[in-house]
Amino acid sequence: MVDLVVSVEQQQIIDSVADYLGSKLPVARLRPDAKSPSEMSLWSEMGALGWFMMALPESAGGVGLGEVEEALVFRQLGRHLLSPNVIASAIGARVAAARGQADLALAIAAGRTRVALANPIGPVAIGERVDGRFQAFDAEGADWLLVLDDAGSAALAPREAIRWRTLSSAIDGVTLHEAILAGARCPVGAPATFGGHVLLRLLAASMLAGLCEGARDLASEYAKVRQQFGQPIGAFQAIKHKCSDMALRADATGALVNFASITVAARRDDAEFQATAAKLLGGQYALLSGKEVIQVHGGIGFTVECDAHHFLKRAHLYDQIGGGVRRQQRLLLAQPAPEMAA
Amino acid sequence: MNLDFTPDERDFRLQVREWLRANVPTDRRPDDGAEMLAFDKAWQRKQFDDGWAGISWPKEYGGAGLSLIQQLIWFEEYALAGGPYLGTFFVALSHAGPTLIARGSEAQKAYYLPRILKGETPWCQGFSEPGAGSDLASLRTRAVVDGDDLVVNGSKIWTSLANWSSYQELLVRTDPDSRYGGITWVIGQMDLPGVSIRPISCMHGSADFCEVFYDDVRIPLKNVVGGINDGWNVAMATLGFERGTAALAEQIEMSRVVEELIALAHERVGPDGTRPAIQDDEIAARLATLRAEVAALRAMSYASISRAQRDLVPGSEGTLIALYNTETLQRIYRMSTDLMGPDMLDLDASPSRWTTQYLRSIMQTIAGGTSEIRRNIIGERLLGLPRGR
Repeated sequence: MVDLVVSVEQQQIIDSVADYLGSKLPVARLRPDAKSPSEMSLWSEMGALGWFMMALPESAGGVGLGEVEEALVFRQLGRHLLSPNVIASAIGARVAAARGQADLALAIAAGRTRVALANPIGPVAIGERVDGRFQAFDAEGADWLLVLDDAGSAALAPREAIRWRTLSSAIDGVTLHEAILAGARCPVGAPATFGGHVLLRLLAASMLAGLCEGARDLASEYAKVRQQFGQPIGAFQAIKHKCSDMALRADATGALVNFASITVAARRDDAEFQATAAKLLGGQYALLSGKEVIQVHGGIGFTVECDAHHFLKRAHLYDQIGGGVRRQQRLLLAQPAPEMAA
Repeated sequence: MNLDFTPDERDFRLQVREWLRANVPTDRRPDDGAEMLAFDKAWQRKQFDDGWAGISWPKEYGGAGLSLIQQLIWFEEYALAGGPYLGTFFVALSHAGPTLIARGSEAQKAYYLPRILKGETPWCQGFSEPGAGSDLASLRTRAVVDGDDLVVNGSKIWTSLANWSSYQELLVRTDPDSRYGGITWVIGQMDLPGVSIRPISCMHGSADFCEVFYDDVRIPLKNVVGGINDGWNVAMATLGFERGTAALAEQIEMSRVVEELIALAHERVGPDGTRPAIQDDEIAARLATLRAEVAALRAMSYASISRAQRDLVPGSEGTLIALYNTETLQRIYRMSTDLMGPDMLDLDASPSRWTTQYLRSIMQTIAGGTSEIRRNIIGERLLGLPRGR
C-alpha cells in the first residue's frame, strides 16, 4: 500500500541515531574550543551501531534492511554535518560484497577498515585499473579510496596505489587531498550495473535533506530568542518568511529523498531519475538554507562562535559529492521522464 | 514506507484508465460562457452515470465509497488522460463537498452532495470581502436571525465563478463582538432575491471573478453548517480540502507541462538565435530544476495523503504544498515565456496558449491565500515563531 509515513520501527531507528549524535557528535564539536572528539575517532563505534551496514544482508553480517532505512539514517548524519566518508563506508562495503570479499565488506561496514570518498576532477576511467585525478575527503588514516563514475562503476583503490598531495581545505574539520591514480590496479571493483552513482546521489541527497532540517531548526530557534526592537526577531515577517522558506526546502527535499529511497530499494526504472532529482534539489536548497541560517543570526552568524557557518560550508561539501547542482541538472535532463503512474 | 499499489488498486487503475480513454471529451473545454457551464455539467453527469463521481465520497450520498488512494489513482489517471479542468465544479468537488461530509447535517449531506456529483450544482466560495482579504476574520457581511431565517446584508468579492454557481459557501458575521467566534458558515443559494452579481474582468482575459452583493437576503437557518458562530472552525477544519487529492491532478498536469517545455526547448531556437534553446545553459538549468521540483511536489502530496489515510491530525503540510505548488507553477509558465521569445506577445502563437496560462499563473500566489499569509502560517504553526503585530 502506498504509504510515505515512517513506520514505528523506522522512527525508532531515527531516534536512536539522533540520540547518539546529539550526545557524542553535536554540531558544536566543530567549534574551535570544542573538547568533543571528531567522528574519525568514533568510526568503529558508529560501525558497530550498524549505520554503514543497513542494506547489507544479515547473512553477510549486516542489518538486513534496505536503502529506505539507510537514507533515514543518513539524513540524521547530514543533520549533524558528519564527514562524507560515512557514504564511502556504506557504498565501499557494497563494492567489496559485490566482489565476493565478504571479510573486507564486513570490516568496512563495521568501521574497522576506513574508506575515504573521492570525487573525480575531470575525466576518469574506472575498471580493473583506474585512471584519473580525484579530490579525497578526510583521507588520513583511510585504508582505501572509493572512486565512482557517473555510469555506476565503482572501485576501492588501495592507499599505496595512490599519489597524494595535501590541499588546503575550505571546510572546517574536513581534510582535503588530491589523489592521482595512474593505471592503478584496483582489484576490488564493480561494473556499471552496480549502480554506485545512484546510491551516491541518494545518500548525498539524504545528507543534504538533513542539513536543510538542521539549518531550519538552528535559524528558527534563534529567531524565537533573539530580541530586537522589543520583540523576538521571528515575529518580523522578514525573518519569519526566511525561516518558512527553510522549512519548505527541508520538507520538499525530505519528501523527495523518501520517495527516491523507495524507488532505489525496489530497483525501479525511475530510481536514477528520482535520486538525481533529489541530489539536485538537495544541493540547491541546502546552499540556500546554509546561507540564510547565517543571515538570520545577524552579526554573530558569520563568526566561528556560532555554528551557522558550518551549515553553509558543509552544504557546499555535500553538494560537490558526485558533482554539484549544475552537473546534476545536466544529468537529470539526460534522464528519460519517468512513467507518471507506475 | 512503501510505494506499491495493491493488486486491487492496480486493477482499479486499469479500469479507470480504460474508462477515461473511452470517455474523456475530445472537444476542447470552452474557456467561458454558457457553453463552458454546459460542458462542465455534462462531463460531471457522465462521470456520475458511469459510477466514477466522488471516488472517496460515501456511497449513501452518491459517491463510490472508495479509499483516498483510489481517489489519488483516479486523479493521476485523469491527468494522464488529459481530462478537462474541473472548472465550475472545482469548489463543489474539492472544498464544499468535503466540508459538508465533515461538518454537514444528515439532511444537508443527503440533499446537496448527490446534486454536486450529478453535475447539477456548481458552487463558489464566498469568503473574501472588500475589507477582508488576507485578514479573513475581519469579515463584516452581516447576518441577523429573524424567525427561521438569517437575513444577510453586505458584499463579497474575488468570488470566482459566482456568475455560474448554484450555491455558495458563505461566511457571515453573526456576532460583531467576537472576532473568530462570531462567524457562521452558511449555504447560500445564488438565485435568492436580493443577491446581485457583478463580474470583474481579470488580467488573463477571464470575467468570472465576481463581486456579490446581499440586500436583505433571507437564507433559511437550516442552511447553517456546524452551528451559529462556529463558522471559523468549519472553515479552518476543511481548509486542507482545497488542496487535497485534487492537488495531485494539478501536479501531474504540471509534470506533463514541464516535459512539454523540455520538448519545446529542443524544437525552438534559443536566445543565441542559432542553437536549440535547450543548449542555453540557463534554460537547461531551470528546466532541470523544474523537473526536480514537480517530483518533490508529488512526493509531498503522497506523504500528505498517507497521513490522511492514517487519520493523523493534519499539520501544516497542506500549507507547505499549497505554497510550493503555486510558486512552482509560476516558475513553469515563466519558463514558457523565455522559450517562446518574442512570440510570447502573440496569444495565438502556440496551441498551448502559453502566454494566457502564464498570465493566469500570476493570480495563483494570491487567490485562495497569498504566499505571504502562507509563510506566516508555516512560520507560526509549524516552526512556532511568535505572531507579529
